[in-house]
This record gives sequence, structure tokens and C-alpha cells, in this order.
Amino acid sequence: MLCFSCRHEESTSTKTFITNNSSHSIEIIPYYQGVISNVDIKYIAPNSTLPILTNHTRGKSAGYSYPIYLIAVDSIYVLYDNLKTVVYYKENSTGNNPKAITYDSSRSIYNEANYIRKITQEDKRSISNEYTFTFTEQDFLDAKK
Amino acid sequence: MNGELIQYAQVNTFIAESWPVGVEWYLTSMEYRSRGIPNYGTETYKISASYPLDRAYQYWPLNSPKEYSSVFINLCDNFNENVQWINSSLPNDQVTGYTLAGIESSFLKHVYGQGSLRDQLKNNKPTGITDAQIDQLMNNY
Repeated sequence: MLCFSCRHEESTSTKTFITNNSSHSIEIIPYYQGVISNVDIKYIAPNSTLPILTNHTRGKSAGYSYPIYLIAVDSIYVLYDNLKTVVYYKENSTGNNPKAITYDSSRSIYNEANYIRKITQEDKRSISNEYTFTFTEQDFLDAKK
Repeated sequence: MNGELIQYAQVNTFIAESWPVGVEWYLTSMEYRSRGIPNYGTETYKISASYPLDRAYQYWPLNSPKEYSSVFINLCDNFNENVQWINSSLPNDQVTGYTLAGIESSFLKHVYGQGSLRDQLKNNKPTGITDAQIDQLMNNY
């Protein structure tokens, strides 16, 4: 007798953290089509870590981290102490700010390669990932007034 | 499926899992839009919903596992994530006009994998959609 059944479901949990290792407050301000997306603004206190995104997906994979969530965002402003800013451009951006941090920079918040991935749990059918991006004191020093 | 159990066993995981992704996206979106959230499950929706409702799953990247793909959403929606979001890691989707109900009633029972889905899409394409556009979309999967 032939017996068919659904295959066992696999699942992935993914958390993304943004760590602020500087002694300055940080606001992450995404722009979409020239408009600030207020609900997406994130505040990170000095020397603290913010869990910025959690998601659960089917299948066992590297998961979807914050950079994938940012795919639709045209650019990001990071504001330090409400005083200094850094602009981040997405991949293939047409922006022309020479001081903007581009996608291929090792400091780009857009680029998942700049996040440290840690597998916190894994078994045959499930996996949990954590991604962490860290702002440093040097990032603050490199920002412009 | 066409021959029920025996033929269902021949359906690959790409179809077996991507179809429920599309159905979940469609049914949940329909429910919440009827409750007053007009953009629920569209490419502009985010925050409250999760996979595959966030941004209508248009962030599905080409380098992710094919099983849980966005293919059935992309057949129905009218949004080309590759162009609108200027991102080459996303499917180039110039196809629109299919409905999940239409796919289910007319040809899903003849679909076993990417090849047969491509053939059936061409045999049942909406007005204005070309074989080249279908090939371009299906090449992503």
C-alpha cells in the first residue's frame, strides 16, 4: 500500500538587533519616496541594544533580517544626539550625496554582510538566527554636523 | 490534483509550499481589508503583519530557498519589486492578471513543478501578458 503524507514543516525564527556602542543617542530614520516613515523611526539609547525586527518564516533558512525589511526604503538617515547625521544609500541608489555611505561600504546598515549572524538554536526542522549590527564611536566621529 | 493521491505525490515542494503561501496571502489580505485596512497584504503594508503579508512578500530574494516562493503572489499582483524598489536581488515580475481562483479551477491540477507551471501559465495567460514575460518571471524560480 502506498502512503503519502505532507512533509514535516520546517521553520525559521530570526531576530535582528542594533547595538549602539557609542556614547550618543541614535535615531534611525528611513525615507520612502522622499517621505519619512514615522512608524519606522527607531531610537537607540547610548550603549544599548535594540531588538529591531523579529520574524518567523516557513522553511529552514538564514531567515529574513532587517536589511531585507529595508529593501523598500530609499535611504536612511542616522541622527546622533539630535545633532549629527549620516546618510545611508540602498543598493543601486541614484543619490548623489558624496558623503553618503553606500551599500558596498563595510559600515552600511543596508548590507546584511555587515551584520554578525549567530545561530542560537538548530535542530532537524527548525533554526533560530540572530543578526546584529553595531554602531561604534567611530561612526559618530565620522558623522557630519 | 488530476489523479488525486498518486499524482499529488509527484508535485514538487516548490508548488506544494508556494501555493499555500499565495493562498495565505490572498485569504488573510481579503479578510483584513474587509475589516478596514485597505492596503493590508500589499507592497506598502508593513509593521503589524508578518510573513507573507509584510510588503506582500515582495522582498522574497532570489537567493532564498525556492520552496516558499512568492511566485503565486507575483502572478496575481501588479507590482514589479525588481523595478519599483530598484533591486536586482528581487524577481523581475512583469506578469499580472492571474487569480488564484482561476489557477485552481483551470490548471493547478496539471501542475507538478516549475516546468509544468510555466507551460500552463502560457496556455492560460491573461490578455496582454506574453510568453516572454512569463519566461522572465519563471526564470526567477
